[in-house]
Amino acid sequence: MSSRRLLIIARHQTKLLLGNPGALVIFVIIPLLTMVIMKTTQKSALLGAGYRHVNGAEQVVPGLTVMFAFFWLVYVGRTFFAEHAWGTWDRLQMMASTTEVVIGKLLPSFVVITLQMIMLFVIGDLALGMDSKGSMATLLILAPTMALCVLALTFALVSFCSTMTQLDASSNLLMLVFASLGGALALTATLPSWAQSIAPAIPSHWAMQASTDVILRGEGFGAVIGPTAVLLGFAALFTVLAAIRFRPTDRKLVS
Amino acid sequence: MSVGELRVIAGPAAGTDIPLGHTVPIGRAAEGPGGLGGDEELSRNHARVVMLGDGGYALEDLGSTNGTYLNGWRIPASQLLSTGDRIQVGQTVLEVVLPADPQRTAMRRRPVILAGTPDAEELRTPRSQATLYASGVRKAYGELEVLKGVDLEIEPGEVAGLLGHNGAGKTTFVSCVAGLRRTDSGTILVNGVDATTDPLKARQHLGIAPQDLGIYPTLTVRGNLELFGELGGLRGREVAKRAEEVGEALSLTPKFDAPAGTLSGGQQRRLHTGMAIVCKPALLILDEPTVGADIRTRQEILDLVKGLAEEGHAICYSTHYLPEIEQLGASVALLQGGAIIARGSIAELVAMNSTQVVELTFDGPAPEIAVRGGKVVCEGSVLRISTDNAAAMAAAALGQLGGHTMRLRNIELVRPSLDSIYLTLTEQRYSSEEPGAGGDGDPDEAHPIAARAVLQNSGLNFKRP
Repeated sequence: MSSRRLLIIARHQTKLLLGNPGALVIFVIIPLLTMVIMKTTQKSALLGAGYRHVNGAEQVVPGLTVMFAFFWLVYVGRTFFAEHAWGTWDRLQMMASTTEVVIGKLLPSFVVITLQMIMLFVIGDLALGMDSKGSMATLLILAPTMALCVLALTFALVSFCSTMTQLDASSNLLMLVFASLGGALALTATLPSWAQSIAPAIPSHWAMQASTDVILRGEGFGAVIGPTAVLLGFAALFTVLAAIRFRPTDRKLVS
Repeated sequence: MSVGELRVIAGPAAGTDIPLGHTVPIGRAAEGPGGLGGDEELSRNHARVVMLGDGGYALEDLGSTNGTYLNGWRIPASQLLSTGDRIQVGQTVLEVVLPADPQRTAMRRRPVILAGTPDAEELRTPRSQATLYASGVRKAYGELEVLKGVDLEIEPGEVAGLLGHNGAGKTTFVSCVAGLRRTDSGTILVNGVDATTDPLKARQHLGIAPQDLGIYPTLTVRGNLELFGELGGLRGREVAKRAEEVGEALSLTPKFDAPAGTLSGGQQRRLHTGMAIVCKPALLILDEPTVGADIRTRQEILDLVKGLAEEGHAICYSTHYLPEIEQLGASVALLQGGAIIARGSIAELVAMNSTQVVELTFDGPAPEIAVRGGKVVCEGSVLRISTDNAAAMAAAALGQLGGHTMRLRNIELVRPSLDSIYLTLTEQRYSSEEPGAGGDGDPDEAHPIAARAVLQNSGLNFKRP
């Protein structure tokens, strides 16, 4: 693998991402607006769950940050389909190895998702007056880990989907399932028992568990290590699934 | 002598012999017999000679400062070796002596090869200078065998027209050369690099413009060209310089900073081709580069191809417009049923296939008639007669038609030409199967050369109103 070619493709992909800055802005502004709207509701939920001295931001900030990280499934997945629509996929394959192309395409998104999560945490914290009982800095490790998990899942979806319709449908479905069952929209403790029992099978559950432990329970870095390891495990699983299924010569249809 | 050797005939180590093995490194700091420490003009690791799977040897430059020369030519990366070749590295000159192989040394000429002739086997051995060497390439998709042992060589400076109907295996063959598809068996060397075992390295010597347009519409013309220049190995200022050269050659300079998506169809086609040549590949594969192109674009692309060939690039040019092959002065490789059935220059193929063809088109199914001195083939509404004298045969055929004369819609005499050769060898008309990509307007206007050629090649051509 040539790091030079990988970086050339990554720089090229960054240009393509920056060519559509609307999505980047929307993926920060929309979750912030949604945080403001849902803050009061979440305050009631937190108080009902027995937490004191909360204003709702303690759930809504990490919840929507985690939820909107998975919004990238569609956006990043579509960049692979766009290569097929533009007829450039084969051309890239001829100039670089598949590994270089895939990592080069995902690398800028990794940086963007990580930055998006950090920005949402920081802005949400400052603007909504989140009362965190633990150190917010301990949660920073979640951002790149989640980004890795999201991109591995994106790669898996691209591997399994042959049309953009399939990609859109599966991405949106997973996004909603992950948000609702993973505790991003409501505390896992408030979900039905059947939902609580399957929540550990969902990546966002582990990100939310780490956030809850640090922000609401005031736990330290030790509470983040376990969930981070599980998220890395999910990323590895998705990567293996993608690697098994991915065929560079498969046609992808934009319909 | 069971293995070959390199005889040092000039330089500080003159008079010594270097036996060839699996890999023989050459350089000031090279280990083994190729270590020529006395030559100060050598790089530490200058070049190497490696044994190929078929027992041949290839010379590879290892990024040396002063370059590696084979028979006076600086090699871009690697080249096949033959007995008698002279390698110059620094002050040292080495003569190549390989085990006796009459077939290998016989491949110094460009033969006209027709499948099934004794010469066909001769094509299976590489000539030292071939930029593309493909031998016995086979590829099947399940039960369907698409390539049945394709043999093809293209030398530096040669434009080879790869002809064949849809389904003949052109695209699969090109994909195998590009390393996008694995071959089931056979050898493909691109500039001496085995594309079947090291496709990524082989691709560094290869530029390819697929038939389907492939450009980034949101990037500028410059951005598209520079991306593929960089991926092709260009660095620093050379990237921008080369992109500008290609843009100028393809008349894209005024649109250089415009998004590619805003270009006209012809401009996009030119950019698409430019992206394949920007890194100056040793082998350039152009698959239907003029499909849907306007007159200007077509001419510019043909001029560019000729210019690249003059610079020494080997070009594999696939097209459905036979006159383009003639205009380019290209040799012909005719692919049918997954194998090359004819190979040679147009003049050579015409000389070997002087058969003329009379083609009669009817309203409804063509009648079956018997004529002396001609081979008759019926295909739907078309009746084709291969003959030595088309005019006389046309007269004889008309006399045999009887009541079918009223259904006759067109009669065409196809004189010896690439068109008639194709017709003779495949029993199909090539121009009748143009790709469906279409042009911007009237098909005859979009493909003026093809339209003109039919008239030029025909002694008689009339259509009923």
